[in-house]
Amino acid sequence: MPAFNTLVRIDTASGNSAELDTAANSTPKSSYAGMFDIAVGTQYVIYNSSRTDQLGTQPRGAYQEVAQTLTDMRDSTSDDEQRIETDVYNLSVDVAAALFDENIPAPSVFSHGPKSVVFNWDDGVHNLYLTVGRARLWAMASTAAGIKGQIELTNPANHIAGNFFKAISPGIAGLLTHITK
Amino acid sequence: MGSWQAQMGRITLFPLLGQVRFPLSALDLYKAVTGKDPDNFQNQQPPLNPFPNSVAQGNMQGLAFSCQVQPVRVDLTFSPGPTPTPFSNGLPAISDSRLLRAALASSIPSIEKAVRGAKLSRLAIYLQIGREVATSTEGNQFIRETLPPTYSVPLQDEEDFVLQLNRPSAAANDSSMRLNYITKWSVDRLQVLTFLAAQNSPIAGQFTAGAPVISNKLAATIALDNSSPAQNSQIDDNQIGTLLSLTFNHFNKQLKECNVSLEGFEDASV
Repeated sequence: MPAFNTLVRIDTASGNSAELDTAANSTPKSSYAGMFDIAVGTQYVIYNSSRTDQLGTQPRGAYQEVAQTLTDMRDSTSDDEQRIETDVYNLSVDVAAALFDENIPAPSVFSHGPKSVVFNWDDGVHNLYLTVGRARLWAMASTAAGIKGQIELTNPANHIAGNFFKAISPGIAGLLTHITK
Repeated sequence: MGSWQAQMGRITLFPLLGQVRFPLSALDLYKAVTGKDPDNFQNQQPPLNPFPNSVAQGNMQGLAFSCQVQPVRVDLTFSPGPTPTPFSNGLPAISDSRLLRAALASSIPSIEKAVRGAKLSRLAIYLQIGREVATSTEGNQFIRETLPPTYSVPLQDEEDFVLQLNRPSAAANDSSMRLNYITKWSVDRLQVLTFLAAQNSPIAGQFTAGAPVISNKLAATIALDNSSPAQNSQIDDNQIGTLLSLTFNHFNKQLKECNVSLEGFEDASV
């Protein structure tokens, strides 16, 4: 019998569809990822598995472009249409870093005036937009037929934490489902 | 190929986004926990990381200790201390797990004091144990020995096994808060890359001495990943130490369920 890959996930608290799954509750980026050293002559341990959701498959280069685009927007001259305010830049970097941390493919980045940045994913059928303001965050999904759903991911105190991380932890497809359900 | 050994312990703090930046640098945090300067501190953005990142590293209680501050998470990691020779053959492991237990336990009050006012939304503590194996079949055998009978899996020569369970329960100090207690079993393929830096390298971490030495490893791994839930509000500063202690103390129960004895963690409590 040939060897085959095995992946099993069980959450004993499941049963409520609103519950997070086990993967969403876990916190490490990957096993062994923390075993590194910037000192001289020490060992680096890098995860190397056939799985595709681990460190090493993250689109670092694409996110470097995202980070550079945001920096360019912040540093634009005041009469440049691409310019964004510093508060918007700071929150956009946090949101982009969280997306990167969750292994979500890098988005396209657009400015929408100085007070917001739009992250966009387009799979050919759906368009997904994350709009980042000074302290608030919205998500919207659309198709050629129109808007399919929208949701604010900020709580009343303008905190971006639980709702946002729950929404992105299942990935883009999960976020799309979350918005359109 | 040996017995189960501690490989890493980590405390992770998740700041609220959209408010203020996490107020401490990796250097501040390192000093707060150890009371001394690190051996290395890097405040510039590393070439492979797109986002701001500061790292402070050194030794604490016989272990390598690093603080890493990133936009969405702050990691304080204890890992094996420096090896006698950089090209040693074995998988990196903490030979005396009592040191890891002591380091994690003693860090909690220091962290609680240092991060007051930092607006955290979530806390996590992580313990990883492992043992090097020669084949997937051997790794699967070790995994089978540690799986609770309820979750027994008839593993043989399958590869890349992963089983992850979350058994959340209410926090002892707050019945409305459900803490995550995750155990993850896996058989991992690893690449160990060993670099040597040029003697005249001006910056730690800037490796210029050519290609790394690469060795491939196979390891059975058990990771215990305990955390408070992702929530929208700030964790009360007075709860930080309590939550970290609750999740830390649960390691003992999880290891017993895995039928693994790890020195120092038999009756861990802080």
